Amino acid sequence: MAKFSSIGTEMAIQDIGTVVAKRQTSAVDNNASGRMVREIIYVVCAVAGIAAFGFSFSDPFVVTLAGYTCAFALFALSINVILGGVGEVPLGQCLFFGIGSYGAAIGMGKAGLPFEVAVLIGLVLSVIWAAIIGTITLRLTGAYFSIVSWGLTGVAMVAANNLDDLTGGPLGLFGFPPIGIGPLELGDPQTYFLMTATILLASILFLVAVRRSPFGAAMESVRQNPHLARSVGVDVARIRLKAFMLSAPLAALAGALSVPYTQIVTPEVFSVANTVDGLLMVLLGGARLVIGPVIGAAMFTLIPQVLNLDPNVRILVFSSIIILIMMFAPGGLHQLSVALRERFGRKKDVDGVR
Amino acid sequence: MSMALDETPAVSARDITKRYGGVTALNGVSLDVQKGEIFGIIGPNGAGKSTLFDILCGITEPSSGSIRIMGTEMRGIAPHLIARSRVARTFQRTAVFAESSVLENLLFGRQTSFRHGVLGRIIGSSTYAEDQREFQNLVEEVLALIGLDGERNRKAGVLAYGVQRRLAIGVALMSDPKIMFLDEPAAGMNGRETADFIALIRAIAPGRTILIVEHDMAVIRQLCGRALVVVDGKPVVVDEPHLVLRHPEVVSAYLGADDD
Amino acid sequence: MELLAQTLVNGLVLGAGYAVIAVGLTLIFGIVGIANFAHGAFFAMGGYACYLLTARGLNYFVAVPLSVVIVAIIGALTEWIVIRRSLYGDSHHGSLIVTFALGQAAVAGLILTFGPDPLPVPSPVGQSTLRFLGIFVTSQRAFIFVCSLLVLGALGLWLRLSIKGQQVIAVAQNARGALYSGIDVPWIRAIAFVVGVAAAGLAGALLAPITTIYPTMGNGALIVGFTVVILGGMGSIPGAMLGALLIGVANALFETYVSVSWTPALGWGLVIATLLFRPQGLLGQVQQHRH
Repeated sequence: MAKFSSIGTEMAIQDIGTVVAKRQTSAVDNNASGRMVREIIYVVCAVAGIAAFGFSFSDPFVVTLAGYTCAFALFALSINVILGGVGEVPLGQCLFFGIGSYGAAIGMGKAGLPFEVAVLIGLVLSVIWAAIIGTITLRLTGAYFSIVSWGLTGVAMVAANNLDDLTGGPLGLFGFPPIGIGPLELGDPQTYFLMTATILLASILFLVAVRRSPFGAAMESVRQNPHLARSVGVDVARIRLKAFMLSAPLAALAGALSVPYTQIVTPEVFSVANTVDGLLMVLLGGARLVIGPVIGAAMFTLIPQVLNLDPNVRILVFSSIIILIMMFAPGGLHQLSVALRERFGRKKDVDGVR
Repeated sequence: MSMALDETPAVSARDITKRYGGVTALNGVSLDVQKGEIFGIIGPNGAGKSTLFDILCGITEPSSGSIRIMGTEMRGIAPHLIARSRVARTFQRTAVFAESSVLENLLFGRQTSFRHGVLGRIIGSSTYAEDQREFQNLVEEVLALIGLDGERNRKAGVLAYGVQRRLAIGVALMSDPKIMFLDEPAAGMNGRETADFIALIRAIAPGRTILIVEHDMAVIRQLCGRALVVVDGKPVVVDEPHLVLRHPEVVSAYLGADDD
Repeated sequence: MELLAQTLVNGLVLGAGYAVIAVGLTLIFGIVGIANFAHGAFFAMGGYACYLLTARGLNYFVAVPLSVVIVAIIGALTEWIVIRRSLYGDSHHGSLIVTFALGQAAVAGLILTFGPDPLPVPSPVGQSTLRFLGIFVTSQRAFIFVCSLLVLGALGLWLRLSIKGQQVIAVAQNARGALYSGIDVPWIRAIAFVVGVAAAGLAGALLAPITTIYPTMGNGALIVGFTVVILGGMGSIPGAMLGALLIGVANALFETYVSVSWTPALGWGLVIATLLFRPQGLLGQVQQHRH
């Protein structure tokens, strides 16, 4: 048992679908098992918190807003799959958000489909478009990917404006029948919140599992040093594409889940302002942490509601904050907290015993 | 170093030329590196040796000429596929994944050397278990070899320069490469680090073919069986290091550069 | 036939304006090494500066160069305060996010300062028309065309003949080599950035009388700039000019003969086609490694 390292345990946990530890932890290195216990506690707390919030707050406005925050946090998560995952800037991520929104709206409103089916169609469409766009643009400089994905949102907006019959034109689609999934009425604030919060939590767990899987490691190597990654055998282009195709349905799901809140879908869903919001959430919480975007989302969906800012003031302030963050603390709050911890606590430098 | 005449060279290049716009970086370079050799490529700055190196390991396409590794034509094959055929390379700058720990650096290449698939991973097939065992052994071996066993959790970016280079070698070793390309691996090292480095390369050399681009003549002299000198994009001489360094053209190329 | 000629001429004029924007973008990309997503913001600032100056009674022809100076100053400040600090660190997408945020902040700032509605910028030649080989060209358009060509020509001469210009080229080709040769690379980068965004500002001031100014005019310019640069080849100035010409003419033709409302999509169609069939652009070099 002497030479057992933490690798065995970590790899066992990290692989998707395999949660049972296959090896013993060595006596010296109990990081891994300690961490697992901590994480289970986090999850339990999160579930408890969601339940508490959902069942105790009675003000429908607050609860519905919280639900919408969860949906938008999901959007921010999808941005971070790309930004914190492979290191590209997905300026056009609202394209998939819009596809999800319109998919739900058109499916329900025009085709009379149940909400779940409409959402599913939106998800599939988003993956297809991600595959197409990603194949074309991800092979080249990062700027190409960013500008083309941004430009395509403009095209999508133009299309949404012009294809009146399908999308309702500039006025958009509204007046939906009561939205629900099976017996769950999403019109009810509590149900809405519990549903979105649960989906958000599930997504977080999923993304954490991804980040710890070999695929996640490959993504990380691509983000840090694509050149070096290639030389250790990582297919950089393919990893980027896969990450992109993974992020798209998350964004689409977020878009679909926002429909019960906004009750209207206009071409504005493709607006770049959504990306600014999303980016800010990611940068604020810290792109290195999976739940960073969620923290950012919580802060910055709620604050404008409280302050009731003019939308342009909001963009101005948020953009300035983004610039400040990138100048002084690119790692966001997470980086700051780590820095503070290192300053005031002891340095964590584990040297294993041979 | 005698070898059978019908043995394919490990690395073979024919008439490599490379033009950038109007500049000819390489002009008709050919070489053969036999299996098991430690082969050096030297030359003054800007002479084209880095370009040659990039072409040999498949990162850059030559304007003309062919490269064969183990007899297989390399042109047009994607770098990551080359890496998976047990050809490893270290880089001069950005040699390691600075934000990750030593251990994580070694783990990055792992999925490419596995034989089991995702399904095997999920159900815990025996191939999966075997792969994990082998892999774990490999990691421990490499860590011991590069002397970073006790540093496995340190962030690569905070390591001393020479130690980072050792880690880079470790990362390259994870694919158990048959052929290694080392790009100025000893650059910036002090005397002791260089000596350690030379010992490390000697330790890993058996069973592998190693090509080194270097400025440090001590490294070349002590490690390489043969060295190629490239001056102004053209090959000048290929021979044992001490002979090469006495070659009149080489002397004038180097002295000419230093002459003030 | 006349309509075609007219359209082509319009396209040429558009192309000339695009070229000024795109060349500035290329300059910044090639020398400063960043994809300047704030480029459109400087275009808009040029237009708004022109508006402010003419509103105070200045003659348009005086306002234009002054606007360029104003934009150059803002550009220098931006480079000094923001770009430098967030760029040369290890975050390789930092410049993209920062310039993108700058662009968005600028748009919001313009809306808050001037309101969201389009504003007119009067030009002394705005009303008159010239007749040239049977084609009518508004004098303003002719002015834009001539001005653009002059500026591009001057830029080319400056790059080729002046010391600073040659240093700029050296940095573009090999920044490290330039550093070793004693060139003050950060200073050259700053110069390149300022020149690049000043060009965008000039284009904004030139086009203002035709298009009127509005806060989101920068977004359009940015996207045009990038589509031109992608089409022509990232990092190639002649490519930028060629691409600008093609897109200008294509846009004009599409608008006249096909459809106005779908015109924004045309540029992207061309970009997609370029990326599919000739990713390095018309005159660009095949990328060896992806950065």
